[in-house]
Amino acid sequence: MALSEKQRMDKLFKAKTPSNFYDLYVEVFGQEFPIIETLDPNEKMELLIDAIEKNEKIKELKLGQYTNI
Amino acid sequence: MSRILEKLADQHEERIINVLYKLEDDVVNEITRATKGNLVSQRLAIQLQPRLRTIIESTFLNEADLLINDDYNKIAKETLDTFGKMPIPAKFKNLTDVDLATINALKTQSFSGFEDIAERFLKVINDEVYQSTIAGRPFNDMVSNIKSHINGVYKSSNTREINELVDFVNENKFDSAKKAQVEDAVRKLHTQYASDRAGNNLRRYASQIAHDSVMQFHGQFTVAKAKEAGLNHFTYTGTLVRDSREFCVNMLNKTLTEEQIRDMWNTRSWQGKSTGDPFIVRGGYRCRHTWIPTDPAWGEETVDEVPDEPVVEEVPPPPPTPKPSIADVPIGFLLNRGSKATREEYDKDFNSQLTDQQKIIVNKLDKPQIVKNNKKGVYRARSQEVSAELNAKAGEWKSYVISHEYGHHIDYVSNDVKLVAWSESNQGFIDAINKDRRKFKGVNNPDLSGRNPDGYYVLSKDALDELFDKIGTSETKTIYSRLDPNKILTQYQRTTLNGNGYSNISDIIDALARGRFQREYSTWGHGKKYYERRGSIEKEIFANLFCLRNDKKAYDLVKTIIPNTVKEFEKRLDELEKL
Repeated sequence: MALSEKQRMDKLFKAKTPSNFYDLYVEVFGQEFPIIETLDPNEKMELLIDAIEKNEKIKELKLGQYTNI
Repeated sequence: MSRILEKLADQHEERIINVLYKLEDDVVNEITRATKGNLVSQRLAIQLQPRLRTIIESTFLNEADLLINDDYNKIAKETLDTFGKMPIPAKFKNLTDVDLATINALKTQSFSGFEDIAERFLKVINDEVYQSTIAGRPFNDMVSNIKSHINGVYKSSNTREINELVDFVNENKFDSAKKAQVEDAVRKLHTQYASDRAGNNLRRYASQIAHDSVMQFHGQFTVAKAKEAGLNHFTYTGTLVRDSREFCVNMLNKTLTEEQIRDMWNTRSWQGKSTGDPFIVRGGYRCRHTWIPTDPAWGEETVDEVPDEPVVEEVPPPPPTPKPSIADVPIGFLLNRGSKATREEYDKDFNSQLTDQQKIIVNKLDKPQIVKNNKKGVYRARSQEVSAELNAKAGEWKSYVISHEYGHHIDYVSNDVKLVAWSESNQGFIDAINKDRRKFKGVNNPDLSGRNPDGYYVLSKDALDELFDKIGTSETKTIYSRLDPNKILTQYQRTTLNGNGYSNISDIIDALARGRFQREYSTWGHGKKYYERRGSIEKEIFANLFCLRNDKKAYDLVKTIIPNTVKEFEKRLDELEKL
């Protein structure tokens, strides 16, 4: 069942370790944090927090079979 | 006197700068009109040349002509006024026919300085247009390059903020009270247009000529009149500014004989000294000082001792920079877009990331089909496209993205099997990674995929803790709600790296941990989903080793983490070098 806004905000507030945040992403959106353009972890974390606050999952960077980043 | 000269020099510089904006507009309008905003053909590029010449003549050279004919007579009058106050025979105080001939000759000489620079930049603009036809450069890129050739970082822009910065600099550059703000604005402009930092543009040279021509005209006419009057003592006159040269600071208000001045000129050197006659070029480019003739017999001046040369503490010369034995490998020409300066910067950044051995290898193997200066670091093996950002950073540190992506290219094109990278198919390299992973504390599970008979080894938290301490630190960052800026949303651990290339080391550890390192420590790495892709662990480790090879500190640390993999990697480089 989808989390309510209050539940999302509570869990976001209580998240401490990086794993807590990435696990919360899986809990909210039902999938692992996607591959995105940046490898910068701080940028990733702020995108993740923003996604959970807005309840909008992050758009995945689609990579072809022979594409490496 | 000097203040009048300074004012004229500044006014001339300002007028030349203003006319360069008209020149920029006129040139761009003419090219746009002729091409209708499309790619230029070679025929059109040649047809445009006389029209561009006419534009330069009617704007830039016309303004130079007005400046010289309107104002240089005023400079001559100032010189005569100075002589008028001296206790010398009246015949030396008046304008003679010889003086008129001298003034005209000096005016012609000054104008030829503007003509030379106009000719040089006309060629630069013509070349830019012509080369755009050859290279198929997009119209907007060509226009932007032409604007840069004329006004450098001060070119007009479609961005309001940039235009405001340019206007601020232009309006306040002669206001000493706003010097700090002007410098700040100039810094921002240079950040905006990193490729134009060299400053080889018409504005730079033209404004300097406008300034120096005034001072040099005065210097030449004054010394000619002094010789005529038999005066051979001179006082160094003018005002000091914050960045006055040490030479000018020491010489100010000193009275010396012509012989002393020439002797000092021949035996001393200082920063910014320019070649030429000491009475004409004075302290150097943009110098605001003049030698005014005098005579100690008038009782106003005494002859000074030549000031001692400033004692410079003996500093041992820097060790000679060893010349690279292998020439740099150009890849900037493969960029799909970018000015000449950007392409040069790209080559510089790329080559700074390579050892000589790597340059040999890069030279031996096929180059990518296309290179893009793009924030997104990607290598597409099918189209052989390298996409990597110039001067990429990871926080405050260097991230070797260009050589990382190029490392992928080498990994693919050096392998015998098309679209399979060497690293993902070489058993020695794969085994070395597995062996290095097992050096750390962890748990061995059965490998359900059946690919690895030794099992699926998972690094322990202790091992990852230890590895994280080697590459970075973390601090707590508070995040406020975007919807309600007063509300604390959460706090997370923000990672800071310990050095250049450490983002690439972090990614090597993330590969060993199959994406757990990135996820559990919020550090640099491709992450869990990416490392689920077949061959990604080996390919990323290869690309990271390739990009770290030329950074001793980072590479030494990597050797302690994956020593067996490094050995296999170096073996591969030796093989490729001998191809």
